[in-house]
Amino acid sequence: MHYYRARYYDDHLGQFVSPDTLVPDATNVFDYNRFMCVRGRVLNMNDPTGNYSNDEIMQHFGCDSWSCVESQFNEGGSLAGAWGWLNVLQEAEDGDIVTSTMLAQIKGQAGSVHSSLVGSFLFSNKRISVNLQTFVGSDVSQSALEGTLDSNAFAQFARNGDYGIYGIKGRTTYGRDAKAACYTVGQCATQTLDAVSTGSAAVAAVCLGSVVGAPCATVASQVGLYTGIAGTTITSLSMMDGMREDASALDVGVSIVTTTVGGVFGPAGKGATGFASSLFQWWWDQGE
Amino acid sequence: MDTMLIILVLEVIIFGGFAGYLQLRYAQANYPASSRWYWALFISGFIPVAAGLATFLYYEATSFGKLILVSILAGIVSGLFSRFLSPYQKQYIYPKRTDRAE
Repeated sequence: MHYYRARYYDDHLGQFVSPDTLVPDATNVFDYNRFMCVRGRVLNMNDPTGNYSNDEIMQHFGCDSWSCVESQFNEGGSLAGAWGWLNVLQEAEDGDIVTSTMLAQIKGQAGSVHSSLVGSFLFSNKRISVNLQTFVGSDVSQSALEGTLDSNAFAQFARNGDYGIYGIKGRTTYGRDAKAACYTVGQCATQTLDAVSTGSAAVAAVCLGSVVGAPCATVASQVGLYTGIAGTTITSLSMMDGMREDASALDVGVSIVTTTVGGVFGPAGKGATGFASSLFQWWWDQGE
Repeated sequence: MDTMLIILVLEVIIFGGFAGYLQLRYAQANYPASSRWYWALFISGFIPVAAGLATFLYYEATSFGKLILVSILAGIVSGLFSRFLSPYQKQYIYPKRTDRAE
């Protein structure tokens, strides 16, 4: 049995016996076979590193134990709260394109700052670094960068704003704090409105089935309708803002359908229709 | 941001609650075909969404033109829902009475 950083290989069986820890390209069917190596093209492709191992991450932080690494992300650590960055390091390998995005609101002024550093990972001399490639400004203008930055400093860039997002190209995007429920104003607003809408629909359903009755259900279902329309509009705005990647056309479509179904047929079936559509919308936005 | 979310939710609940009360009165009056009622329903639906979105976009530091345009357009959509679709929806709760004069 041989250990190749991200997984184990059994030379008697002639194949990996543990699955790869990620699907590098979701559009490539071969990548869904996670026991395969370099998509079966072993003569002209190679994967010398695999993901960064916990040992390499411990070396990078100068630690002897994993709890020491975690202490860097706990309160008082150099990257306190940036659990999303630890997830990135565990799924990254040499050559991966990585982004560190800072989202900042400028209160009282027209405009906000959305800036990204883009680079590629490199592990050498027991340190994980990032070869800088591009700086993307708030107006989506780009300028080329040169040089190498320690990955800790690269991660700190996203922490300068009100929110921060890390991403590995072609894979998952992480908030700088993986424990937060939302990372952008639009995302937080839609999730809050979803909660109000679901609560209103629940009140309407309970009222229809109780002595409080019709007047209460009428008012509650109307509040649910307005929260649905406001949430749909904010989701649409988020989709149209190119710097944010937290809403898609599918999200807008789902929001329109759930608002219409809840708004028109809400009280039908003793409120169950409205409650079900609001609950589905809430669940959908939680998964963004 | 927390302040914005609190104001946004309060606006939608208070103005939306008032719009719901108007819908209730309209249903209890057996859905009269009156332009005064139609305008009241439209405006009561316009205000909660337009005010909520204006608050959100103000805190988003959006340009004034975009703030006005988006708020008004979404408010109009909401007003049309309140004028046409909500009275239809309310008939699940308060069925329209047909008075038969003998």
